[in-house]
Amino acid sequence: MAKTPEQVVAEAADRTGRSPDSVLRLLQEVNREFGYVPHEAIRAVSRITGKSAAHVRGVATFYSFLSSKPRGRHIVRLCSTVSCEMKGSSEVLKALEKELGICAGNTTPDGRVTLETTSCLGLCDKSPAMLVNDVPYSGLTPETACEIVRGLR
Amino acid sequence: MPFITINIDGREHTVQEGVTVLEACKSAGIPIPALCYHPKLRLAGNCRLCVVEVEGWKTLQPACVTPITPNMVVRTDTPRVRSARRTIVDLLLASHDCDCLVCEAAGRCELQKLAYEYGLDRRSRSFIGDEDYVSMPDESSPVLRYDRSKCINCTRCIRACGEIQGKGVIAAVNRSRDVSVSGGIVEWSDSKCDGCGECIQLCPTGALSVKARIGVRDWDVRKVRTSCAYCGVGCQLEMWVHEGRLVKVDGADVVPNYGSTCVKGRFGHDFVNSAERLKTPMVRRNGMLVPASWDEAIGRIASELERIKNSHGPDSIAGLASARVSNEENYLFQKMMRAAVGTNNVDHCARLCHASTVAGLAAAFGSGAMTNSIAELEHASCILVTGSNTTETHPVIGTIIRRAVREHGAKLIVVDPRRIDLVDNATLWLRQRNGTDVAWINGMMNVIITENFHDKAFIAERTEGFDELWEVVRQFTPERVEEITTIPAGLLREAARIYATSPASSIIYSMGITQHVTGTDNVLSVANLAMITGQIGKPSSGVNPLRGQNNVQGACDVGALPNVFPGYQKVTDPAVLEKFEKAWGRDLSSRNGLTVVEIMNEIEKNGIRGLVIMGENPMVSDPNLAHVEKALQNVEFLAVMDIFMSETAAMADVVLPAASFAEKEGTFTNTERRVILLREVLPPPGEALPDWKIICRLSGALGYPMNYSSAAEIMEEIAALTPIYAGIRHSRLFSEGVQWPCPDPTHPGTRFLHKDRFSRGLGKLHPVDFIPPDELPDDQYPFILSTGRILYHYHTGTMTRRVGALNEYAPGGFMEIHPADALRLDLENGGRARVTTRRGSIETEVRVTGRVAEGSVFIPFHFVEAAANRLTNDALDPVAKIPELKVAACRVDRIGTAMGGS
Amino acid sequence: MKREVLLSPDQPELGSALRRAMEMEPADIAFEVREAKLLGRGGAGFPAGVKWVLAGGASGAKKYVICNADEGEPGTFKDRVLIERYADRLLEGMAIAGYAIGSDEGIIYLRAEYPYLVPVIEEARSRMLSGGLLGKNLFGGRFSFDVEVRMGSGAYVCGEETALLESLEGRRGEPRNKPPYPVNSGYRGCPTIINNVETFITVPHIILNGAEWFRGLGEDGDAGTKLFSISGDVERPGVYELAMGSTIGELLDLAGAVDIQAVQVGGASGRTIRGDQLDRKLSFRDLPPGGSVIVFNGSRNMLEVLRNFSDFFVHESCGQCTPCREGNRQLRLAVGKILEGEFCCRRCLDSFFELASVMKDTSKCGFGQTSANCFVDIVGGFLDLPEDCSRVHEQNPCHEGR
Repeated sequence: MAKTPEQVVAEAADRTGRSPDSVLRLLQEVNREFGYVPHEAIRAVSRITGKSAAHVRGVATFYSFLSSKPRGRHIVRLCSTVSCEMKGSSEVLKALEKELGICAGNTTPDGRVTLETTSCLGLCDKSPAMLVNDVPYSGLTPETACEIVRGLR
Repeated sequence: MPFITINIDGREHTVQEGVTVLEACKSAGIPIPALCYHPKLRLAGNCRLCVVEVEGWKTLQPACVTPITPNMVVRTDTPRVRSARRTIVDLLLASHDCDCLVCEAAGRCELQKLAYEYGLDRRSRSFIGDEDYVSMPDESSPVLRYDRSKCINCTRCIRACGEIQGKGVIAAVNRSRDVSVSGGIVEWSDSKCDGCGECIQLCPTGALSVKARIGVRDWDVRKVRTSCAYCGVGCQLEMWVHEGRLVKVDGADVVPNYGSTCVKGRFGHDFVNSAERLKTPMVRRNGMLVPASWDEAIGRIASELERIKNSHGPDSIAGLASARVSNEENYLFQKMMRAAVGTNNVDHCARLCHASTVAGLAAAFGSGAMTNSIAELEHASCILVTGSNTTETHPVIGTIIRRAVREHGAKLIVVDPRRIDLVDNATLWLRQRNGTDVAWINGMMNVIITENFHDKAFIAERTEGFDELWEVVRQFTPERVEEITTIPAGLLREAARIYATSPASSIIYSMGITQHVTGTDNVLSVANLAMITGQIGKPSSGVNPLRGQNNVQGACDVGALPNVFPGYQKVTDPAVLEKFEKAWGRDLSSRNGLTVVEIMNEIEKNGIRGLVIMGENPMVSDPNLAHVEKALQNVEFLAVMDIFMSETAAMADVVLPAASFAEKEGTFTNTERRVILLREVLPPPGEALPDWKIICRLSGALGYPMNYSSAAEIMEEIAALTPIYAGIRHSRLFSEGVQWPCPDPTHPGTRFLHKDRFSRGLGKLHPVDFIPPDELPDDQYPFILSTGRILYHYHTGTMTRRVGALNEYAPGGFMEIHPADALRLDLENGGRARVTTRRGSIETEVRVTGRVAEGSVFIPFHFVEAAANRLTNDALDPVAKIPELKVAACRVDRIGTAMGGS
Repeated sequence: MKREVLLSPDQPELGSALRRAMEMEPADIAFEVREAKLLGRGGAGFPAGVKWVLAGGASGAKKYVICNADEGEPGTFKDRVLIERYADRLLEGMAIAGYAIGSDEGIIYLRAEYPYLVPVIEEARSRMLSGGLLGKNLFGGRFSFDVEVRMGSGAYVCGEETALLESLEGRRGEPRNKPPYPVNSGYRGCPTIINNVETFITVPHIILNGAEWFRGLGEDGDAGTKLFSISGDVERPGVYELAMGSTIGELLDLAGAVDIQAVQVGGASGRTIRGDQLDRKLSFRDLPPGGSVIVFNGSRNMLEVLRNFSDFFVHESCGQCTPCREGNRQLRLAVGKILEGEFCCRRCLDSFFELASVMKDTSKCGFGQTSANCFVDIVGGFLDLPEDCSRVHEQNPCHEGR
């Protein structure tokens, strides 16, 4: 059975501790587990660390890699910074949007893939680049990018 | 602290080391603009308006966070500085919803002032107006509105909530241009924000404002300082008045609250404007209360009381004074009862809250009041809170306790059967079984003495009775205490050590200690604990009963009690009697009068036939209401003075319309013994009169004329007869009030009591054995019922339940019950249940929560439609005659839903 | 001039520098690093040795060594490459720092975009642990040291050292007011040094070869070598190591670039120079070399480049202080107006240049102090706008009243 946000937070707290210092790490664990930070998780982190729900939400909304909306099983982050743009990331983005049938910032209706653009991924020597979940892909063309995304189940 | 010299704008200034450039400039009289800076808050350094040139630095430096260094050269008014400041204000305006024409903050808005100062009219602004920021304000809170489009992200609100209020509810969310302030996850109302409004008071713009539109502008209102009408903290308020109506309340930045208030203080005074206020006297004719003239109403009371007195004697008449009205009025009321009527049958609701404090602390120390000042609590190193849900009943003191913990590292020990909010801030929480306080306090003393943490020198020099005390205390080993109280022995030991060894420990207690048949015993135990550890008679260290009503301390001080004249001078003492007979020109009774509950009992036995009630509502506040109701129906003659047609007034033969606290001059005495001033903020509605003027009329009609031209004149008479008030004059009270004892007009007042000697000489240690509560759970009534207050309502709700915002927070009564019990009884959160005791039964909403222990039920007593006092036990403490409102045995039954579930 | 030390195929034995360091007095190590004039390789160029000396002298029950592996400057990837190849040297450098200042705990704050480097670091760490180069009582002495990896969550500003500390402490990555500086009151209020990946990896070489050797590597008074990430319109993008004080032209020759319109040095917040300024030096006295070099050929629209960077700054500002939060937004709006043709003369833009200087002068941290650079450089150096267009716009001059 899938874990509830409360369970995920409680288990993570055994590793990170329960002090206010742990707020970000707890949120990272939640985000890893669910792909986003649900409200119940914010409440759970708030309870466990003694910080207010607004404080926890403030932390969650500060960081780009923590999402407040539910997302797909796979997260594709295409770099949109200058070096990648110069090497054709806009074309890659158009191709991916067409392939997935969604605009950047959205999730496919079947919940399979979320497509996002992101600040520099630090792969500028191999532009254009994207991060699929935790795996980097670089030297993309519209075709190779679509092929990678098609392979995501 | 040493001083150093720095150069500001070409001139040398000698300033204290360690201050910031901004503070140095301030002390040198050089203005520095700042928006995020506030002297009460930690530094943010966010707005960057306060930048100055500092020699040796490439960039401008923010004056607010830059510490001064020797020989620093600072320039505050160069073209570079001016341009930077102007640009920053310009930037803020570009993303600010500049609708000053309709903004509540216009006139006090700090951004508006800066825009004016820099002449940033529409034509001279440089930047691109940004429409993105305009959004719908968050109006989900009952009391406040947050409008992001007016927010400048100074974070003063966030810091106010965390640092001043100790709540830390609100926070910044999102990033960059999307940054805003949030109270909750989705919106403000889903947070723990309790509506104190500190954030509104510190907001420099209109981003946070009072939700109810005030309707008038800052410059159109008159602002009058006065004292709050609610609890015993005695917050100083600034009331905004426009055309005879109260439109807004701010906290005044003086002792004891320094600008803070609670939700009731800031938002709960609408009742003075209520259309339901009593405006004319009413007399009962053919069973109906109908409007009458003052002469007719007063004449009717005088003739009825004269008739009863002539046929049954003066002791067949009783009066209930009030902890809600001024010292001057209580003084006159008891004087009227004693001199004009001729009886000592005068009491008031202090009987129901702190009679045991008055009795117990008088026996132990010689005077029954808070030993320390409220402000001292902030610097206590250990605070032991027991039987006081401070954050709800005395919210601003609750705030100070939180600050002591959060900002100054105090250790907080909470001993309470409920998991009150302060437990969140506590080092230790001891959950005792209801009504077992003597046992755990004896247990703590047992640990302290056994482990040799008691203050032997203090015991030897300042107290008597230690050996007798030890004889009892030695029996209360932590293990035995655990059996009685359920407090784990280890926790008790730890608490005892912390309390005894902290440099300055303070005990705070309230009705969880006093409202028991053992109330006086409990108070004596608390006093014992403080004395054997020497934790009394020092700053921030002592025994601090928090008095409930705004003027319960004062009403007791000025003699609204059946056994004492003003200043706790005993009616049975011949010398005292003679003094008052001489002063008042009448023979006075030397027999102790009856107490509140005894008066109700005597009515039933025809011992009391006439009753005059000033501003109290025993039909909701007193225990065993069925009994009270019967008594008030049966009494031959009942007169009531009040501001509303309360449940009690509705039963009266004559009702007199009184002025509210905001409509008269006078004084209250707050819980820290501070005599504070009331001002006439508004005229009374209709024909209503201040109680003191009503009493003067009534006393005259009773053949004992009273002629006072002002409340100040009455205070002079009180001072002449009351040693602890001898130096009090209205003229001394305008800035900060004065704390009694104040023996002469030049005495500065007393911050803390019992410094070198106790009021009674030596402190008396009383051996106290444990006695269980009067009524314990059994098969028929298996739960322990406890009653109390909640933040959003006050006492019987006469005032607060007429305030929309407070009703929105807390619309009605409820009972708290533990999840395990709820499961057994098949109760749902939000469902209905019936609670029954041997005295009565009520229906109320169920709240399933771990705040209460298994086997316990808690019900707030404010709600007449589910009046907890129909259930409570009127068994009395034998010494103080306080009823056991905190423990009763009850039964809980589920009430089926409309769908026919049960 | 190409000069490989960090990237040299010929690396000293792992642990030899740590062993050498532990034969020295801790204070002497900090002094050696100071003498080497090693300026912080993250971009700000603060002398690393000064931090070490101050943190070594600061009192605290606990001290921390933190590695800033949050390189987020667009176009920067040298730290990624360094970690991929030399994670063990990084840990060794951190251990030396720990010994020098009296700390037993190191933390690598790794940017969220590099999750795949975690196993790389962990693998290096276990190798070091089993080799006795990390862990308890190193070389049988009293010094213990270990390193933990902590992840960022996608916030460029966390590369600012006090924002990084806030983030490590679980809060929003909002830069702190200084003083106090981290060397006195950093992570959890304890004395803390925070250095870049490259800085730590440089340290073992300094310990083994001495400060004088290191100073001698640089040219023109700048000490040591420096790594550059080069991308954009070049034939061989990648990481190159050059002597400090080399010219841009030397670097571009290595990477292969033609038809150069502009070169951006130090990332979006660095400086943008024209193709005719290739003799400018990569040094803290001329063009501060954060690590990123992006080359733009003649076909690129520099205003579009500026738009891209402006979006980046608006997105990444923490939003705490007024000049950065509102200023970057205004600069972005101004770029939009230029692109739309609405701002068509220099006078239209006067107040935005003024804004740029106020941002530099009043922002709370390096982010706001430098984020207007590209606006100033690109609008000032690459756009051909008339001085004043008021004659064209007599009815409604574009620079008045908006």
